Amino acid sequence: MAALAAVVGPGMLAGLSDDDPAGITTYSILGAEHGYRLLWVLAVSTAALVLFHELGARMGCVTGQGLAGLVRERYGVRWAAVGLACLLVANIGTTCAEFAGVAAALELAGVSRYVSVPLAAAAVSALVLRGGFHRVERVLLAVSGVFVAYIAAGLLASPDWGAAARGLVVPSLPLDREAVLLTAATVGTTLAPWGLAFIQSYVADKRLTPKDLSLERVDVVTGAVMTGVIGFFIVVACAATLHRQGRSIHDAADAARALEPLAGGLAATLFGAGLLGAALLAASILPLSTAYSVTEALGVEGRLDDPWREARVFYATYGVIVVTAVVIVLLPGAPLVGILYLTQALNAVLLLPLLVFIRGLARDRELMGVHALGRAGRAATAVAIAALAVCVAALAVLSLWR
Amino acid sequence: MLALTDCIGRAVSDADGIRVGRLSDVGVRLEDAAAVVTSLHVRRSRRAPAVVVSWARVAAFETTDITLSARCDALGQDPSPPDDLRLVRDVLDAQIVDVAGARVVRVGDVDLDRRDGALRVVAVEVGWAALLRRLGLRRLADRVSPESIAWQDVHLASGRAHALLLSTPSAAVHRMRRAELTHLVAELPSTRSAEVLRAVGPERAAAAISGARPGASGRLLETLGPQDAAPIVAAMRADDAVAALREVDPETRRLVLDEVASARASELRRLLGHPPGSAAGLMSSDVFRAGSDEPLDAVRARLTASRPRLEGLATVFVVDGAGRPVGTFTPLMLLAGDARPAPALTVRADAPVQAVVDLFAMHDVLAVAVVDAMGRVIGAVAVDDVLEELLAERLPGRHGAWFAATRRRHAA
Repeated sequence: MAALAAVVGPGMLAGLSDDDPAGITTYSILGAEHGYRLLWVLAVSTAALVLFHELGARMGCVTGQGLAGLVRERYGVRWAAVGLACLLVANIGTTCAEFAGVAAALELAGVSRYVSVPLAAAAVSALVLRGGFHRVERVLLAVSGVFVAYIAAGLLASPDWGAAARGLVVPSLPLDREAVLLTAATVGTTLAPWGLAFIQSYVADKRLTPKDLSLERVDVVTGAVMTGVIGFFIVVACAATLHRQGRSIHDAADAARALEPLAGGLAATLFGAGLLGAALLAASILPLSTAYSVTEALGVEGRLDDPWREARVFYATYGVIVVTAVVIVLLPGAPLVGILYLTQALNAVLLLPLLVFIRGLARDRELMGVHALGRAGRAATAVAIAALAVCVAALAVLSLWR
Repeated sequence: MLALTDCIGRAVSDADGIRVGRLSDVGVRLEDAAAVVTSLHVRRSRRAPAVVVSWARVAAFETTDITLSARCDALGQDPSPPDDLRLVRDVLDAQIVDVAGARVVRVGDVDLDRRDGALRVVAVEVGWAALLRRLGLRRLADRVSPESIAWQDVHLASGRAHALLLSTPSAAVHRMRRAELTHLVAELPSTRSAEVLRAVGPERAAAAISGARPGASGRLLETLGPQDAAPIVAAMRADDAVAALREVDPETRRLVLDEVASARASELRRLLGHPPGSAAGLMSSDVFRAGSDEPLDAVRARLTASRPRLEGLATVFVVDGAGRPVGTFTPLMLLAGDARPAPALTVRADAPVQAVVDLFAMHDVLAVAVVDAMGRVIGAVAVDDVLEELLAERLPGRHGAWFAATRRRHAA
């Protein structure tokens, strides 16, 4: 157990931060619009999460390097630069979404965003700038405990467990535009480029080795399954209340508001608290993931234990991302909805080449030695990438159709 | 001086001026503190495997013109020594350790220099200039001053290259001082650090692990495995070995101690039995005792013959017949010929670390004796052990700064 506790972290944090405000919104809409019917999509995306997060953790353990660094080493500086530029834009956009989530969650409690967002930004910056690796990790893991709120909210909504179980294992897809779009969005929001980059860099920062792999797998699977379970309870909470009443919602804060008359004040408060915790967690991890990627691609790897003097680029990137996102979110009249929409699209587009890179790196025997991807792994990742490509294509075609 | 990335992708022509293909990689052999180009890898098409041409068959090598002395149709595959490094595959964009600057960076370009008909790697470029140049932003790159590291100060951190360098006797790691080695081992991924420690031998590895920050030393021992960790643990000072072994999981600790010579192992086991927060948990059992009736000349001779590994532990504790301390001699007192020992400072084995700290704060000494319940000397705590303990408490996770400072002080 002590050995497991020493390894735990990367899988949990990378997984749970995928349940960010954008994710919660998607799951809420999935439940509110389609009830229990599309729960199987969540099971599928959880499987994909396990598959690719395990690969990320494995590469981090074996090579001791992050994804952006490996892409530069193996595919050259041009690919790394193009990838980094896209990642930078997408990550700033996503960080905006997380701070917007903080604003939305606290506005439920009547706190102005001009107070909540700067405070949240100061808190996450102080955490990373003032604390070493272990302190940062402990605080983030503690914050992710807030996700229990969703499980409680799901239970309070007194759902139809039989229907939920059926929806989870029996795949069915109504062939209308909205449903296909939502399916693709669910997969896209669960598997995120920054999450993949984060898990590998973080494993490398944690100095895990191939010896830690078996325990790290436990961490990855637990993190991914918990991500799925939390998604499940969000869908169930919305399906049991909003869907039955035929209410439709636009975002996660909307869902919290709509839950109040249906499942009681406690469920609504829990839903809002969960949103706040999720937003804070993702708002700390996104700039961190970006800082790792930028420093790796530039070749000046930074670590959480490094003092400012030795990792200027690392901390400066973190600061710039946070400040940029806060300014965008607080700018009166900023086209926030457009930015968030564009970010989702960019994340989806970026995901495919990134997965291809990951697969290419993971099967490279020279790099990975005995830990290289075997035949089964190659087949599984190929199928997953193909399925995701279909999702992304569907998303693109249906979005343009409108 | 040639930049590698200016040459890669250039057309290669044969003796008749017919185009053979494009340069895709350059093979080098590691010689004493240098890397000499031995072969060119020429790719005829995007898909075809590269043709390896030995350096002897290269007539001209310029950024504008790479010409072979052989004819195109006579070009067989020259054998490429399997243990050669390839600059594009193994060095370019790979992680390196800048030994002189003690930092991990990525190679942006490789500088080649021609001398006596041979082409050698003289330096690697890191930093923005090389990066911008390669991205086609030459104008911007010219405004940034280039940053390069001499080849003899480079340690390659990537796979094969790392292993090759370690096996080269003149490689930078073998010239590093203790503090530099400690820093390198802290910066590299654990598996690579373990390889470095194996390469430098138990004595130097022991010094590097002793200096590693709390938490890191245990991880290094675990990565090394019991077989390789044992000789290093045996070479470490008892108190450092105990501190490192406390961080290792119990099963590995048992396996490591099984490999250590039995006398040393049982001593370490005994020290491990003391609770970590107590004086005994910090102490070293390598304490220098002298009998109360032993002549000073004999004591001096014995101390010189078996020099303790730490200045602080050069303190001589004079004990009576039962092993109880009656006085102490510092090396300075022995040097001056003081015949009367000073009173010995002692602390009980189960005393909290704070009591030891207070003792050091009040008295001008380098070591205090640790005594058991019967008042017998069982070990000594040196002032550096207490410092490490205090730093671990006060600066969690911020050892990077501390070690950087230590390194700079040692280098100065």
